[in-house]
Amino acid sequence: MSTRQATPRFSEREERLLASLTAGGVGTYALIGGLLAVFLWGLVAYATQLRHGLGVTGLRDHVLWGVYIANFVFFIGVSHVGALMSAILRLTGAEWRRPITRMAEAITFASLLMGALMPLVDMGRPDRLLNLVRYGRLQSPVLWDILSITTYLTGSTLFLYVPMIPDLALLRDRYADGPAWRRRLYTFLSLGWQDTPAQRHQLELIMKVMAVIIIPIAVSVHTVVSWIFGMTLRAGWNSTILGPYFVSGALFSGAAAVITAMAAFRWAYRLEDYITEAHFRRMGYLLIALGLAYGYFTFAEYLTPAYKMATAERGYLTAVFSGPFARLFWFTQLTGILLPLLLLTLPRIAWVPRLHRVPLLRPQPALAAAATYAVASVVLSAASPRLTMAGLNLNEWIPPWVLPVVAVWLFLAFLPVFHARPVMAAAVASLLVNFGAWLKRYLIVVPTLLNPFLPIQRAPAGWAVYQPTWVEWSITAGALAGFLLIYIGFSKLFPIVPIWETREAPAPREAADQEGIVGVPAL
Amino acid sequence: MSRHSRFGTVSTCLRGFCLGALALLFVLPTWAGEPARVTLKLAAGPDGAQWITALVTDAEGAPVPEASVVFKLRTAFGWLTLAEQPTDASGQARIRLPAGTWATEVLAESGDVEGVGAILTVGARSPGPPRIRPGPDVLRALSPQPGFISPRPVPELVALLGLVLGGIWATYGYVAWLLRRIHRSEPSQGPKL
Repeated sequence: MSTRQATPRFSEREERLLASLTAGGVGTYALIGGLLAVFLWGLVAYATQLRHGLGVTGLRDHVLWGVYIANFVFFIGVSHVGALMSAILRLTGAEWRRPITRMAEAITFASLLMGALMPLVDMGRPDRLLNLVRYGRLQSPVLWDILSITTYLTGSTLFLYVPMIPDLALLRDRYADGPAWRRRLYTFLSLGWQDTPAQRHQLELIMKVMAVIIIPIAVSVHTVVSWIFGMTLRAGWNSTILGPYFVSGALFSGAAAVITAMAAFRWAYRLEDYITEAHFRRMGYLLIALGLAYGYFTFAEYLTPAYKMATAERGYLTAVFSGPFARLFWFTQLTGILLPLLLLTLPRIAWVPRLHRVPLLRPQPALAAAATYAVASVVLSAASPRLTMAGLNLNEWIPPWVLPVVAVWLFLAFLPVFHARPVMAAAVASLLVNFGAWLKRYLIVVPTLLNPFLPIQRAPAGWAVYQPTWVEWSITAGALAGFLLIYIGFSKLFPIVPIWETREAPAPREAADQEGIVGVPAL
Repeated sequence: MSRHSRFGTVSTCLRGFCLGALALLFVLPTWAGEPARVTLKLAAGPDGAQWITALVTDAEGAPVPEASVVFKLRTAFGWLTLAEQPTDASGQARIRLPAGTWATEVLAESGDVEGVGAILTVGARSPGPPRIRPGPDVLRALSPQPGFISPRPVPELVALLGLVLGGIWATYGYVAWLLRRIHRSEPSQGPKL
């Protein structure tokens, strides 16, 4: 009793910012339980792979990289923007960054941990990792990649940890309700922080040094990842702009991941006063700029070989543009780049709310049309063999132009909804960007491997195609669940919104909303 | 001659005829100038190229003219067909492997249905020193493939990596030292803010 009275309590503002540590309803535990189940299922799949070898996957002699390496590039890409964005905003003195920097940096940490595991999974025999140390060649981009990821993981962990020290000291001093191990952890990590001028000076110095050095490291990491592909002579990979292309794609998907996290934490812990619409607007501008750059790089990357259509690359380009991967390729460009950009820009147009005056352009009829289309497609697909036997073609019943028409209708009907809810628009756009980013990584890895310069000969028929098996999908789902568990676990242990940094923000909320600067309520 | 002995003679003749016909069935394909064996020979050309000669013979060892011979090269992806050539009057077909082709296997197959073949290992002798030498050769463009593709670490590249990584990790060390100072600093060093 006496101890509790002696311990200083959190202020109301601090308690709101620490909601992620203390709040834990049924929904939270259900989410963690579900993620844990998926993660464990992924472990079961990995145990199956370890026991029976890579034969249980779709990987064969020709496609030796598949879903696992797509996951690797995706996670490394998502990790890109956290530390990089935070460093640039710190150096440029952008005050609005304060509430979101830590959640961005934590994304870097969590995704790097999961991303670094993926090549190990792809190896099939993890014990052979030792060979990289014993026989690794310094002139090989694979070894560069290991060195750069290790360096980046260390740097981004420091970059995440150092600005947390004052908050850890706050938790050490005032987190009386938590278990003893938590206080011991906070005591250990806070490094005896007493908030003296000398300590503050050293902390500021560290942050400046880290902010400067983390930028080239972050850029180099994804460039080196691209060199693993670019340094080989293969169609689709043998490109000079693969480095900047990968970096731009990583920035795009990373910024989208930060927006997704912002929306999730704002919704889950009622942080509307700290993560305001202004933050989503600013991050939306950033996402638009990065998306345009990424779209430009994509166009340049494909136009150059497609214009020449060299014999050696023709198979790969045909497979991507009009062959087996064409649907996936065009779907990825539309939903991963174009649609998010439209979602972030068009709802801002002033006359968009007037669309609802047209009865057909309201969400209800558009949703009804989409549902009818979906049901009809499923029913007709199920009856397709009988229809074919009866001499009827599925395309005669639902012409191919119906799908784009329904999609455009749905988009127009929801534009006014997104106009009224800009946070939702940003969240949906960011989810689409991340989904498209993963598909794009798959398209980078697989079609090239299926179209080698030396034709695939005398291989079993099944080896000339790549079909990921349940083992690969389970491990992929487990990796995603692992990433989310690390991220949620971090938010349960440490304040996801910096307390001391937002306390020092100069502008009140009103000014923030007008000028797009962070709003910190005066308590 | 009794009826019984006459029947036995016919039966013996019939049996002999059947056995003979059966034996002929086995012998005929090879007997009638069909490829029964392929022999491969390797010869070096004056320009460093290597000539592989396939001699196709029948079961009696006679050369088989106008037989089709398919030459294949072993690759990481299976057997890659190099050429298909008919044998000449002496039963020989030849292909040329360009200079630099070594340490691989070449297969020659002949015959349409149940073909025969032979495998020859080309360039099995121990190779000489690598044509691309590491270090200065690579960087001074003296090797036939200039650049950083090298069997051994390129000194300049190692130096560059060491400089970059060393600089970064030294900075981390400096940060760790500053963190240690934070940890060791006494509260009396200044007023609490």
